[in-house]
Amino acid sequence: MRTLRLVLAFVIVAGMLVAGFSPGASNAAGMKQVIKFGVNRAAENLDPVTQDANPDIWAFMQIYQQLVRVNIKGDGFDPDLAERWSTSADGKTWTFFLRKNARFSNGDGVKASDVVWSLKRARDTKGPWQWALEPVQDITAKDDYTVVIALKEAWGPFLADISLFSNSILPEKVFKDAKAEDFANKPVGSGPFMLVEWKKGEELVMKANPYYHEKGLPKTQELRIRYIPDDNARIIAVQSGEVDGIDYPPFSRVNELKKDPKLDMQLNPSTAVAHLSLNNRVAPFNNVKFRLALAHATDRAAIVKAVCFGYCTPGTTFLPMTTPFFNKSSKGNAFDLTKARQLLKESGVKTPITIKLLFRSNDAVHQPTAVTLRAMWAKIGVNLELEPLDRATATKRYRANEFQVYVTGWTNDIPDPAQLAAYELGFTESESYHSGYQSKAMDALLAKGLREVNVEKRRQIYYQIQDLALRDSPIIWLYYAPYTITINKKMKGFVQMATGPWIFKNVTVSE
Amino acid sequence: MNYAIRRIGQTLPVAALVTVLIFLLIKLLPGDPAAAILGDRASDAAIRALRTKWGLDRPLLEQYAVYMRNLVTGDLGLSLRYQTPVADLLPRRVTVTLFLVVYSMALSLLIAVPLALLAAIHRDRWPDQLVRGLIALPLASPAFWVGILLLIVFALKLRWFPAAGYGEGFLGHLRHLFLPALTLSYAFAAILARNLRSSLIDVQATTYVDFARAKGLAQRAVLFHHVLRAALLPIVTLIGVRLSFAIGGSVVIETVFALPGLGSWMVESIMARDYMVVQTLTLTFALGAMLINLTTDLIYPLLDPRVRME
Repeated sequence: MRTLRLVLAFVIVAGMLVAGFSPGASNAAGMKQVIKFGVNRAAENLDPVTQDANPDIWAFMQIYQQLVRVNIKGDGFDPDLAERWSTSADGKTWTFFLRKNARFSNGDGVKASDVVWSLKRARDTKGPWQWALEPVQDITAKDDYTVVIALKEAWGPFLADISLFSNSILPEKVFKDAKAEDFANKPVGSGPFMLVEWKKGEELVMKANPYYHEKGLPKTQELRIRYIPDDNARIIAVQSGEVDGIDYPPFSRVNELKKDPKLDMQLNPSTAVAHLSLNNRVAPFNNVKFRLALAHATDRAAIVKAVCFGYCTPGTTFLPMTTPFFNKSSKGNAFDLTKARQLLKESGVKTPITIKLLFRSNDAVHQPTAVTLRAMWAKIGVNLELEPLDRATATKRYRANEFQVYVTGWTNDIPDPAQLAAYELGFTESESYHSGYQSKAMDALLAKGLREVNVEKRRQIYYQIQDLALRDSPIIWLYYAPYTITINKKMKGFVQMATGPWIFKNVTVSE
Repeated sequence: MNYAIRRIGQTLPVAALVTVLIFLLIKLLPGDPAAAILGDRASDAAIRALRTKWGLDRPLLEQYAVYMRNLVTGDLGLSLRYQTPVADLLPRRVTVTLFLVVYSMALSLLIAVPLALLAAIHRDRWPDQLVRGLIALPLASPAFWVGILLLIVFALKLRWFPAAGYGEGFLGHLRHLFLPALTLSYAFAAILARNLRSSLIDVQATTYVDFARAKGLAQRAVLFHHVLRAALLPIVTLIGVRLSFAIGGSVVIETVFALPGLGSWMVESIMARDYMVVQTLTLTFALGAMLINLTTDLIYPLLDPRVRME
C-alpha cells in the first residue's frame, strides 16, 4: 500500500500548504492596507453620464467629484470641486469658484475648461440624466478657476441637480476624443480613489489617488469591491473576516446578524420607496375610486412584516421620508377595509374581479409582496392573478404598458423632491413612471415647484403635490426600505449616503 | 488515423448547426437587452438609440450573417453589458472553470479510488457496507446545499478556507477553489466509487486474476498491476461523460462561491440578454462537450488494445 500512503501524505501536505497560505498586508500602526467590500451586483460600466444602475454609480462615485456634493445628512450641500458659489439676484446666473489644489489622478489640475467640457457632455449625451441640466442655457469658463452657468429661468432644485453624479468632472484632455468604451472602462477622476484593475464580474481594484486634494485621505490605500452574488456566501464572507463589509444582507437575516458581536448590522436611511404601478390607461384602473379602494385595502404594516421582517416603514406619501419637504403629518391612504369596500361600491366596478399582478420572479422582495397582496385584496373581492417573469421580460412588458399592476420601486438620486415628482407624477417624462397618469392640476403644481426658489413656499407646493397624489392614487406607495449593510466592527469610518453611495475615504480597518 | 479524421469531420457540421440554433433560440427569448440594461427608468429614446447602436433593429438574417463573418475572423463581438470585447473576457473565465473542473476530477479520483479499493477488498464485510452507505448519502443531497454547508464548516467555523473568489497565484487558486471543487466532486466521487467497486469485483473474478494468484504473486501486485488497471477502463468513459456534466454543474457552484467562471457568467448574461456573450458561451459549451466526447473516443483505443484491433 505504498502508493496509497504516498497519496495520503501528499494530500495532507498539500492541504496544510493550501490552508495555511493566506496573504495579508498591514502597516505599522496595525491597520490593514486594503478595504475589502462584498457586493451583490457587479459594476458593468463606469460612464457617469449614461449609467443608471446603483452598482455602477456607487463605484464611480469613489473616482469622480462634482462641483458640490450632498452633505451626509442629505439636507444641504458641501463644497466639492467648487469651494464656494454664488447666485445672481434673479436666480438665473450661478458662479462656481473652483478650488485650486484639485487634481485628477493623472496629475493634471482640475480647470474650469474641464468643468465646461464635462457638463456640456452630460447635457448633450443621450442618457437618463439629461433632465438634470435641462434649465441650463450656457456654461462658460470666466477664467481657469471660475465657471459661470446661465439658466433659462430661476430653478429651485438647481444645486441638487448640479450635485448629481452624472455631472461628474472628467479631464477634457483625456476624454476629448474618447470612445464609449473608454468612458465605460477607463475612468479618470479627481476623487479619493482611482481604478487600477477591473476584473469584470469579479472585482474592482482601486488605489488611493495620490493627487486627491484632501490631505491624508483616503486613510486606507486600497479598496477592493468584490462581487459575491449569493446572499449566504456574502454573509459568510463577512462573518469569516474574508471581507470587511457587505451590502444587502436580506431582511430575513438581519436579526441574526444584529446578534453577532463582531459585526455591525446597519440599517441606513435610504430614499427607497416600494410601490405598485397601476396602469391608469385601462379599466378598471382608470377609475379613481377603484384605485383608492385598492390603496385602502392594502395593509402596509402587514407587508412590512412579511417582506422586510419589520425593518421597513409603511409608506404614506410618494416621497421618501428622508427627502426634503416630505410631509410628516400625512397619514397616507391608510389601511381601512370598510372604506375600501365603500369606495369599491361607489366605483361601480363589479366584484369579484380578477386582475393581473406582474412582478420579477426570484426577487426576494417582489415575490413575498405579490403573495401578501393577493391575500389582502381578496378580502374586498379583488382576486390577483400572479404573473412572475424574469427581469428582462418583465421590464419589457412594463415599458410597453402591457400590465395591470406592476411591483417596482424608486430611489432618489438628488436630495430634492423635484426629480421623483416629475418622474412619477408628470406625464411628459415617463408617462408618470409608465402608469399613464395625467392631470392638469398636477402638472401646474409640478411646474411651480421647479421654479420656486423660496424654501418655505416650495415646501407648501410639495405638500400640495403629496396630497393631490394621494387623492388621485395613480400608484400605490407601500413602504420605505432602509439600506442593509453589514460591516466588521474593525472597520471604522464607513458612511453610506441616503442617496446610496458609500464613502470609503475615511475608512480604516484594524487588524 | 482515418478513424480520428472521420470523427473530427463529423463534428464540424454539428458545430455549424449549433451556431444557427443558438442564434435563433436567443432571438426567440422575450425581453430586450437595451431595456434590460437601461432599466425601468430609461427613456424610450435612449433605448431606441442603444438598439440602433447595437444593430438590434436590423433583419435577423443580416444579424446572423454578421455574427458568422465575425466568428470566422475570430471576432466574438462586444459584451453589451461590459462594453468590452467578449474575446478579452473569455480567457480568464475559461481558465477558472477549467481549473475548477480539473481540480474536482482530481479530488473525485483521490476520494473514490481508495474507497472503492477498500470496499472491493473487504467485499460484503463491514468496511464495504460502510463505504456503500457513505456513497448513498451524497447522491441524495443537492450541490448548492452541500456548498453552503461546507462554507459554514470550513470557511466560517474552522476558517481553513476562504468563502469566495478565485484567489491569486497557483497556491491561491488551489486554496480558493478547494471547497467549490469538493462540492462539485463529492457526488461524482460517489458514482465513481460505486462503479469502480463493482468493476474491481468483476475483474477480481476473472480467470487471469486467478491465474496471477496461482502463480504466487503478492496480493498487492495483483491488485495494483492487474486488477486496478483493468478496472479503471470503464471509468474513462464515465469521466468523459461526467466532464460535460461538471461544466454544466459549475453554473450552480460558481454562483454560490462567487467564482468568475463560465457558468456564473452564462446565467448573468442570459438575465441581461447579453446576446454576444450567451452565443459565445453556448458555443463554447457545445464545442467543449464535443471535444470531450471526441477525446474519450480517441483515448479509449490507446488504453484498451482490443478496441484498437477492431
